[in-house]
Amino acid sequence: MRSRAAPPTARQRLVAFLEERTSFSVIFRALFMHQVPGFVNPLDYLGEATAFVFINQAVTGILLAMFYNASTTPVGHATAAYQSIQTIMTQVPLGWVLRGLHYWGANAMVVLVFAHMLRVFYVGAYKKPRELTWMFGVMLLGVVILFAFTGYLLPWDQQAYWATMVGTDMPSYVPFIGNWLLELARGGAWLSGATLTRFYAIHMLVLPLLLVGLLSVHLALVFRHGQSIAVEAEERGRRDERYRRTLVDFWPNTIAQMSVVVLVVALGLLLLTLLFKAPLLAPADPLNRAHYQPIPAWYFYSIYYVLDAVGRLFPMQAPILSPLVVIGLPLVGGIALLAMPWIDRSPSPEPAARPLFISGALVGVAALLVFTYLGNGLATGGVSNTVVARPSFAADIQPILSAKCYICHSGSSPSGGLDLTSYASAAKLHIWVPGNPQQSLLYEKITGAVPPRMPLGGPYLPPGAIQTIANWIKEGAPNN
Amino acid sequence: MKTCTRCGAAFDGEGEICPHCRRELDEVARWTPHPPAADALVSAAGAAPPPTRPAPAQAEADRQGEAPPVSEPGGDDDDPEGVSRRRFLTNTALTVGGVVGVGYLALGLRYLFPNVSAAATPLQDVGPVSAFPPMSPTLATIVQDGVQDGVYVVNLSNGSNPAPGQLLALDFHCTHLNCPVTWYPGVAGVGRYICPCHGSQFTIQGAHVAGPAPRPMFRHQVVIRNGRVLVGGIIS
Ligand code: HEC
Repeated sequence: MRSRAAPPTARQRLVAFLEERTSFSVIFRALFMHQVPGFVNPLDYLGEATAFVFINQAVTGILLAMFYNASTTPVGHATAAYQSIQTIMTQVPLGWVLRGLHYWGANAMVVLVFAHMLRVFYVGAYKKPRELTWMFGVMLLGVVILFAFTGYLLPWDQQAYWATMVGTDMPSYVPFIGNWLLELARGGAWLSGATLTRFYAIHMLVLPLLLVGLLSVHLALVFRHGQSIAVEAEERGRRDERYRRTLVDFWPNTIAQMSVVVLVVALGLLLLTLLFKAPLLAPADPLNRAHYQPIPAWYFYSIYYVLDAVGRLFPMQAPILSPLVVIGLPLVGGIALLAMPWIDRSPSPEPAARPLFISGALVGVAALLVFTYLGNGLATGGVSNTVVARPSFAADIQPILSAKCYICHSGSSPSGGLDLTSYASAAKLHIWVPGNPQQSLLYEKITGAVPPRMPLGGPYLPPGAIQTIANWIKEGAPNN
Repeated sequence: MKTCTRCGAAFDGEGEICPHCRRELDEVARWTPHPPAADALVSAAGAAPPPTRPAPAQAEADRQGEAPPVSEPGGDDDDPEGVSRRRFLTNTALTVGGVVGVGYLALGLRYLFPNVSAAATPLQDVGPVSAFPPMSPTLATIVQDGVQDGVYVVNLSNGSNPAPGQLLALDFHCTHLNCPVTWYPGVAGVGRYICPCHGSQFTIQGAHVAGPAPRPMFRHQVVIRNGRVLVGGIIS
């Protein structure tokens, strides 16, 4: 009797149809059908997390582009670009969520790509045969930073305008072609509508193409070497039965683990978006009438701090050292990263076998974190915003004066004849009435009750610092 | 069953090497420009050289019983004198690719490069001379590329009739990293322009006195015409 096979289902027919025309099962099997070690360190998924954030950026970026208007044509008190972001934030349904996801995604991308790099560095995974995978990864880090830099300008608010003014001036320190690079970046002598369209085109066309190209090579290499791990694992599994039983199929086990990573990252972005609204400051004012103090994006805080420290420690050499910081530091850092597989020539990738490199990297990362933290202090005015109930002059008041007032109120001929560097010299002009802040010129000056408000030209003291000074006067302005 | 002398696998059939290795070596020989090297490879593996296929022209001639055409000079792959045909084709492709690529690059760069000469910014009226009192820099506004630019107009004379050289127009972007400077009258007894970013300071005439700025403030063209101050592009 002939056994009658059941007729193929529609799905089987579709698979067979595609298979016959594309041989896709070959690719599918090559990519997904192999065995991998059962335990995977979650840190090894940082690359996948970064890739997911990139997809988030692409989707939200395309949607934002549907409403964003890259134009500096004046609209009301601002520009068309600024107003379109305002519209996205306040009028377009869920616009603020999309911009939040894009904003936090951009920050997450910088963090994740860097963390991924550190992890790869730690396990020495840039060693032979993965040197090129590493180099493409470093180039991707560069592209991510350029993405962040070009995207930063688009809202055309004060922060965007002045941070980009400073950022685009940095290339002018490159020898010989500096000015040329600056004008090329800005499309003019200063920032203008030309800069905005230029940055928008780079952000929307050039960088995505570049990133997809580099990422394809990076991933192709990752897959190629991933295959070699699988081959090794399977070979070892053939000899070692116990080991073989710890292996799992890449599909669907690893894929499922990756989907958990995606979920965690997506929820994290959503949470940040809901808790902290993406900021939009006052519209850009090229004349800076409100005396906004330019500050960089947080990932440039470290270089911002080093620049400031160099200026304070070596005031005379600052004009020479400054270009070294602005151009030299990133250049040397970038080249060192690219060349890492050849700098670290220790044969073993084990962290314990490379004490010099691991400790060097630790020092580097620690310095980066500390400088970023200190740069954050600078960016917020270098003055604490916490109110001190019973302040001491030496511990609480003097630091505020030294950070914000010495620049003018010190030296041989201080502004207004007022020397604030010591209690005695400050007391000479009777700028406080012990117990009564409202009657004290010091308080009236920092609140603006008596113009001109201090610090002259701004940025003014944060409210917490003003309250601390008021409390100190209320306590009788003691010299403690 | 025999053992392949190349890969060590067991196989049935002719020769010293297995069919798999044979195919691979044939492949190598086909992609290797110099036949002797391919021969060496194969004989090292202990096998006869792969059969050479007759060139199409040769085959054609054979079939028609005619003498084969004389080969053109320099047209042969292994001609040691001239450039080989293969090399010539490769060089041609690379040159064409390079020239076209450089062409697009140059086109793009020239297209993107802006005209920022002083002449590109027309002189703009910023007010009567009397609006700029002696020795007190006043922020005026000009428009460049559609965006406002702050310029401190400085009257260095002691009246409202400054001679050439007694009227300056200083760009308010710091020469360190282009943050906007502010004129503070009382500072250091005589007044200073101070940059809020890294604390560079400049004198009333724009000379650099403190901080990381590498040069004096930028100067704009400035002229007085019919009692009004006109400011133009940057000259130094
Ligand atoms: C950029 C320079 C600058 C900075 C920074 C600055 N001042 Fe002043 N300050 C001046 C000048 C100039 C005057 C005199 C001008 C005037 O009185 O109109 C002055 C005047 C004063 C006076 C009035 C003195 C008097 O007897 O009339 C007080 C009080 C004062 N400043 C407090 C402060 C304090 C407190 C800070 C820091 C929080 C500060 N200033 C930061 C420039 C500065």
